[in-house]
Amino acid sequence: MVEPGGVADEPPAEEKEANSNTRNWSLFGDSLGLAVFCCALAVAGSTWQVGFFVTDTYAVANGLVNVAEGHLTIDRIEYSLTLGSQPGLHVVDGYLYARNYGQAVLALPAYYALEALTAVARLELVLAGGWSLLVVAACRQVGVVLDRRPTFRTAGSLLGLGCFGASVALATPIDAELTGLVALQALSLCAVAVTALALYRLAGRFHGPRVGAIAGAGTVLATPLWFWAAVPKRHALTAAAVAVLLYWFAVSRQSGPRVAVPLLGRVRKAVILRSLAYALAGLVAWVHAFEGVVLLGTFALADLATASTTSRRALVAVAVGASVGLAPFVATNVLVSGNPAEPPRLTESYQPRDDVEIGPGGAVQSGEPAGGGTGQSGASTGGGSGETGDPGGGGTGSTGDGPSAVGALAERVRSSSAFGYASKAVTQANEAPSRLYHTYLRSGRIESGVRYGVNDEETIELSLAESLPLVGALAGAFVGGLALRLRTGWRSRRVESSLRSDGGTGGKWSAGRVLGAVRRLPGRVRRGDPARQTDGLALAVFAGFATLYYPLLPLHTQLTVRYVLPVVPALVYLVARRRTVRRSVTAATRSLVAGYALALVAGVAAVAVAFPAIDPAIGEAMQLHALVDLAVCGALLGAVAATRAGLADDTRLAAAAVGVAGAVTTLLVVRMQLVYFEYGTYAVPVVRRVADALAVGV
Amino acid sequence: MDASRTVTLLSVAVVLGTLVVTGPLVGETDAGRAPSELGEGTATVERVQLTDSPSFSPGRFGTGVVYLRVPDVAVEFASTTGRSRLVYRVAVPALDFDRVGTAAVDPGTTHRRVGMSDRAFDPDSLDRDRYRVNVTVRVQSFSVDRTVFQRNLTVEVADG
Repeated sequence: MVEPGGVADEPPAEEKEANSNTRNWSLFGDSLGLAVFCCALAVAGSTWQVGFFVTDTYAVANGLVNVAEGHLTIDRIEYSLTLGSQPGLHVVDGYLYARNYGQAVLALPAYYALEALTAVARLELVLAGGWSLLVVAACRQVGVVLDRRPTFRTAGSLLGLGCFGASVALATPIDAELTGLVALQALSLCAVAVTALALYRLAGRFHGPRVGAIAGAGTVLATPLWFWAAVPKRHALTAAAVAVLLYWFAVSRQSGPRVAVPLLGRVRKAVILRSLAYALAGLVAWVHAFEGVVLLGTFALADLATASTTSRRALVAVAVGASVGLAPFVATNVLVSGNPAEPPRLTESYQPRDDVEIGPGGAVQSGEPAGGGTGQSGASTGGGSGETGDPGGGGTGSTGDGPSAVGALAERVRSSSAFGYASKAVTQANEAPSRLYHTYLRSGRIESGVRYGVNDEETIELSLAESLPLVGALAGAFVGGLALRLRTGWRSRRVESSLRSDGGTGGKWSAGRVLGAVRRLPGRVRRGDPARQTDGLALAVFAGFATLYYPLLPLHTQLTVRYVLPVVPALVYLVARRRTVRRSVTAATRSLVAGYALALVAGVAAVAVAFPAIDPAIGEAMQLHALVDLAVCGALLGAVAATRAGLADDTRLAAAAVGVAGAVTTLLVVRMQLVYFEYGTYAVPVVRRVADALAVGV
Repeated sequence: MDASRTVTLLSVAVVLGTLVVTGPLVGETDAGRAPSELGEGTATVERVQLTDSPSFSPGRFGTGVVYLRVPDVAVEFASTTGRSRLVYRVAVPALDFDRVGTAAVDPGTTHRRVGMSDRAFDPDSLDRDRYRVNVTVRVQSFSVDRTVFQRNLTVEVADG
């Protein structure tokens, strides 16, 4: 099995100056990290569909193609469903722009690479070939980790070759013009692999390579990230940013060795990582302004409260990092809207009446700059009230079909200024319980807020617990901890809390003691254990996203509450941090794997037998998954709580429950991609064929 | 050099070689390119049967909607020549519902089944007790377009 060793396993405090060589700076950490990355990419890529799932991807892909031609304005519409407008297209001063340039620019390297490759090879075979080579690499790397190189290398090569041969025979052509979309999808897939890698390194840093590898694998297999990996929305990118931020945060809580940096001399590694983290959080704003602001804010709060040093030099480094990260965002805004704080997403949505014509060949003809209409967009950013009156007009145009429903959504995001947000939160406070219930616990038919019409009335929007039953472990650890405390009484509380990782509140506090504790809190937070400080950041990120999207959720076309997808890595980390969970999965890894494998086989068999008999429609199938997942979530909660409270001594129970929770999610996301939501051409057609043969794709 | 490394290098070379050989530089081959669905063919139909009758029934598992359950259509052919296709159309004019399912018919096909997914409706939008459902099946190609099955059914909305 995995040899405990390598950088991740050593207590960070023992890192020596002499050890600060390239190994400490390596991306993957060790050979197991590279294996996690390759396997995550191969697994996520296996179900890749080349196609547009959410219609505003057209605009971002068009943005990418036009940026590659050297201009931000969209002069040529390369991709469109129908002639005319598309959601995510904006108009400023008579020119068209895409809503999201961060994603477009980040995908440029992949775009150029694909353009070069499609000059010599067919796109569909490039994808199948690339995936097959990835399988070869992943198998080879697993062989390195298990120290059985020749066997794995030979088997992997033959497997890869077989997959490629079968894919060549089964391949259906993919238009070479789709490179823009494929580049965005490739970026998103890589982001999911990076998320898995960051989770591996993060969990591995605190609890060793085995917990790390399980967390990394779980990131892909046991979360809805897998579904969104091939959907080039912003969510997978932000999720990767969250995972990397958590890791960098964890590493930089110790000042670490000094390393030589050109021009700056010798600098603490922690300061460099913090600077990089601020830059990364700033870059997220380029992809989505609100999410960037939330991440930058929460990270800054957590960082400054727990930093090992707040020397002037460190603060300068942090400020430089944030400025560098925000620079592309600000520059894009100035170039597009003229206002550094107004991203393209917040400018006027393009309507065909806007004096800009899209010709039959996709050529965009700008008319006279429309003075009135576009002037407004610049002026209206300051006050939310001016905007909130407006969506009525946009709303009437957008009832009915899917594409403009997203336009209406954009309007809602548009109106979510601080004022609009606060007033909405207050006036709709009575709805809060039901909204939170539907968003996080049980979906079902949601009477308010969700426009099912855009998805043919299908009840396909799941809640967080239904799409990520793994969170049951978090609740279970909490409930079990409470139960344990009730059982053992308050007397042993002190001893307990010094041993336990999850803290608690309550107790016999006098006013003076409370005040004293509050006064001592900042110091205690600063001196705290890096792992618990990172827990704090993970919780803060969750709270940040939950608050940001509270006025919008529940909503249509979310499927797995995709707006809060970026918190998935934070939740996986928090699950991995629960003492009960990590003890169970390390002591009983075999039960974890067996639980996962058996539940998956049982699930596939149940689907093959039961689904033809009950013949569910898509909405019914999704809700059946939801009910099963919720039951599994509850069982996981019970198992972890019982183990935590000391009612069940056997760690195999909780480990197997974690495995089952992973398996039902795998079944859900794989069936979503292969059966329920077919929206494109499969990049690896052989996977589709094998799934059909196994009756997963019934 | 050990054998496993040779195998790996060979596989990589085969993959890259195949990519270039089938690519535009060397000359496009048609390997793996699917032929188009429609041709000049025609088909004579022996029997057309709906596997069930269309019905309205409440959605299960908390979906909170009413589904129009659309049955598959099973077609038996007496003879087929060339490539044609079956077009299965179900329409409920009063609900603005009109959906088409197709299936390719190759020369020598004796049976073909065309399925169609169920359609969900908001219970509040169903204001009548019964709806007229039109079902048609056509054989279509570039040279023919013939209706082989047509039914106007009245379907009741189940309580619940």
